[in-house]
Amino acid sequence: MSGVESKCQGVRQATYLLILCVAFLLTFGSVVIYSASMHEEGSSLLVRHVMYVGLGLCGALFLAWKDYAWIQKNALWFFTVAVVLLALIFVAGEVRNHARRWFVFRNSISFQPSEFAKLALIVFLAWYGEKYSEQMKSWSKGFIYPLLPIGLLLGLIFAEPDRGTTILLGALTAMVLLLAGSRWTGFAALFTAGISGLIYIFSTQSMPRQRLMAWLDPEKFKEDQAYQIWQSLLAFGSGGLEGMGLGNGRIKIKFLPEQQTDFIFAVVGEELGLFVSIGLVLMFALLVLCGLFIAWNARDRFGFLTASGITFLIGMQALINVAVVTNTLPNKGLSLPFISYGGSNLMFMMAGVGILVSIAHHSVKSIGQIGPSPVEPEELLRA
Amino acid sequence: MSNTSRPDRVVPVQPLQLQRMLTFTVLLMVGFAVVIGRLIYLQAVRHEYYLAKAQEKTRRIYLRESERGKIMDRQGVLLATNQRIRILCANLAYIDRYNDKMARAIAEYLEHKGVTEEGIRQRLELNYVTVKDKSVLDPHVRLRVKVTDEEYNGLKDYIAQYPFNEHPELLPESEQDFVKQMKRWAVFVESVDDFKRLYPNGTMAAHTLGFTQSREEVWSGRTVFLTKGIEGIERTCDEWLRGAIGWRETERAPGVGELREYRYRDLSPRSGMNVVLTLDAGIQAIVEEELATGVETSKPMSATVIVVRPQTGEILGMASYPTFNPNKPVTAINNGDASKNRAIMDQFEPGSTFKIVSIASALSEGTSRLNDTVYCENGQFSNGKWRLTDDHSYGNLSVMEVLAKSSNIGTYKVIREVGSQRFFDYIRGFGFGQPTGIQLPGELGGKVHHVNDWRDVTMSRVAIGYTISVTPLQITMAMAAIANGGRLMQPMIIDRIEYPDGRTMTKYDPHLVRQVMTEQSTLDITKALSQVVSDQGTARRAELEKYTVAGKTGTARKIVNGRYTHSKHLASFVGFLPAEAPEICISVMFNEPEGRGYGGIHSAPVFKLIAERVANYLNLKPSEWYMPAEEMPEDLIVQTRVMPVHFQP
Repeated sequence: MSGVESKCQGVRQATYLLILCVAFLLTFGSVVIYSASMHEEGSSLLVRHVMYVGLGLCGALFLAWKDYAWIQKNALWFFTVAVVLLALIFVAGEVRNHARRWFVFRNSISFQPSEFAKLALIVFLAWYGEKYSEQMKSWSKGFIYPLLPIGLLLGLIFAEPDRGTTILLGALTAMVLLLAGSRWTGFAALFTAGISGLIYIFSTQSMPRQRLMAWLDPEKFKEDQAYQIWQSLLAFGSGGLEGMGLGNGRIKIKFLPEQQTDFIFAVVGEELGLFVSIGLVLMFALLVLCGLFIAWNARDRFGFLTASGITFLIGMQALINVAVVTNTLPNKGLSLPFISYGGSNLMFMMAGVGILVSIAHHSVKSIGQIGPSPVEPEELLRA
Repeated sequence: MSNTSRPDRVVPVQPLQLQRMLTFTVLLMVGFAVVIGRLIYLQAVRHEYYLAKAQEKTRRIYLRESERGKIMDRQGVLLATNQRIRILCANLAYIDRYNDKMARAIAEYLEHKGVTEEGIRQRLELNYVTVKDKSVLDPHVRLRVKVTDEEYNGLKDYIAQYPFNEHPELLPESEQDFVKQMKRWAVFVESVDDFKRLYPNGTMAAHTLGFTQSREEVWSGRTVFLTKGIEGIERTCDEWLRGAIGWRETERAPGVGELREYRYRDLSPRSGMNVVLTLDAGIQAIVEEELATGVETSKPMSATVIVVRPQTGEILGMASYPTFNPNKPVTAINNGDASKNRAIMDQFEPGSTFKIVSIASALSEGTSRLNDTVYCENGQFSNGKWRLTDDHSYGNLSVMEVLAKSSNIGTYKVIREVGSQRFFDYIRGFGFGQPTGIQLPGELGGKVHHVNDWRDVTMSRVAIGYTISVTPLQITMAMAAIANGGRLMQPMIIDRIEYPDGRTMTKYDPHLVRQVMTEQSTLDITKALSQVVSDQGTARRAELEKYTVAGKTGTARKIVNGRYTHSKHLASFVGFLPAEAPEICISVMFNEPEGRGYGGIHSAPVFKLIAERVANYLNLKPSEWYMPAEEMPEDLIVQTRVMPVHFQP
């Protein structure tokens, strides 16, 4: 009985910690967004961002309050809607920065379906993993069948083009399916195929090879391919240990493109210095640990898979973003969760957190109601 | 389907999943550890490297050129000042399809500045700039042309009357309106911290003032363009005039310009000091006008006039012909002949004017007196080794008459009594053979052979102003010494240096070089010199109605192909007035005038015109009311009016 109580306690604390982390990141993000955009936009971006935070908060509260079972019921619908929206982009979407990723209403409100698709994909995978939990080991049910609709979804995102999100979601799919019980050999084969495909592209085409060279030596290509990443490195490097002071960044002013969205972490590094940037990375790590703890204690397999999917989505997106802006990975357009400016991303990330809280909440409830935790490994035998 | 209602459907987590989840978690944490390591590398290890690279992009030092000091005459009339320069800009929204014609109009008006139609047209092309990743039209373009206010106003007027259409009255009303708006708004100026040197009186005192040029200089390790004085006062007083450059250390961002909040050092430039000259613009104007008249009648190769105050050595007016416009320094540099200040850079054999030195030394030494009689050999003198002749044959002449009639033989006989050593001492005493030390660049000292190198014939030649060379300023100062009781003064051109607000910083005092001759003997020679300017003398054309003039003519033959010629002369007249109480000393030199080059014919009339007007200008008391020197009021020379100065930018 004490074990159950301590488990209850643990999940509750993890949930509080998670909410605290997210609240901190959102607040911090608002401040940094203002700093990053004040020279060009004044406070207009900040106002819009806070508005999105408010909307996201409403959505997250709603999702957290409601039992997530309804999501499971409608998982197929969400997935279908995501695919339809992604397909519609090719008809009604708007091109920005050479990519067709957005619906734009009345020139001001824009919506990015791929952000919705991230959650829809996770929910679909969790639904699938729950529904076919016994057959996940088989090649057809555990590997080929789920990959067909997901391939369609990823293909649509890839064609936008949005390679960063495609890679992120591909990795996420593999992780969730592996957690659901699929064989790893299939994914290993896919991974190998992907790597050899990349090697082939780099060895035959000059443009990607140049990008690779620019990634390896950004200073040499600082005027063309590596312009943005070089500015980002300058921002980090000139920040030093203590930073230039909040609001005092220089590289953010006109030198660094996308400083308020994908490259906002560079602004953090420049203005607040090494300690804050490490602190931010640790904050994401803590958030991931909290999320995984919640997942581990979910009341059912769908909750487990959904929670881990959402947590890994947040964690991996943050990791890839930080890796990109520090030139640890080649440049891919991914935003930093809860910090970057961008309504769709922020709201669906917050929706994801809402679902996480719901899962945590109901796991606590279920533990209280049904007795011993279903996730205690030693109790597995009893079940 | 709800799991809470059917707990039996809970699917437990299996060990395999635990293992995989731990693997993913560890991988993710390793990833975070890697980026943290990367952050430490970038922000701690490589901090200085990247900081330097970033500052290279953002930090800038902008120079702020100081306003160069002004140059004024003794009354405060501006002789050199500065004009603010502006950048010419255009608003394309008002020009639209007329860009070709507008380019032509601007280029036509500014042709003298080297503005080409093609260059302007390129600037008037549609100007796209990138704002927030979108290409937008920026109607505001800089034409990269610097103009002064006058040029800008002139250009506006030019555009206002420019025929943009052949038949404007046939155009629809909207089109006429557009053209009207365009003429009004299309061209405008932006202000910058830049100055152009301006000499408002054009060629006036050009040789004294000199000119400036923008020259490359190394300033704290950077190559910059700074205005530098090249000639004249602009050069000698460059250190005073230039002031101190200011600079601004600041940061910038592309497309934004300076980031004022990060301006961490801003040193205002200090304006240069003003230089007040001893020149008087009124006298200078008289001198230049009359010199121009004289040049027209005599048509010399070159000419100089100097007006000096004997008591102090202050130069009140100084002009050379040919002259130049310092507002166009390029032409001045290319034409060294015109920009040469002949008053201090021309060296020539003075001829008869030098006889003042000979007679003065004899009188001062006491070897001759004014009324002593000298036999002038009827114009032909020979001692077997060499000959000396006079233009007219004279018999017995008094020393006074020797000077008045400018007898070569008489002068030689008088100086023979002095002896070559003492004569040489007097020549050096009068300041010949060395620069006078005037604060102008490039002054020459003339040439006087040392007495040890004199041959037997030399003294006879030196006595009448040959085999030595002098500058116009030297001979003027020697005459001024006679007018000043034998006290040779150093010529002064700078009266004082002023702070930009007008307070005096340094006042230059008159400097006595030496007492050359006894005061008594100067009275005697003055008496003789006033005989020159009389019916008896060689310079009756220099005679004035109200003032007695003391002076001496000179007609020096010039050497052509190693022989003294009869066709080319240096015609000169040096004199002062009033003879009893000298106030001004004036020299007029014509180099190679047309016709017979007598100083009495070419220079004396010009002297007379200048002296008359200057005496009036200075309100000198006419000689009838002669007063002894000690009763002379101190403020006699105080100016009562300033000549209106014509403004020529």
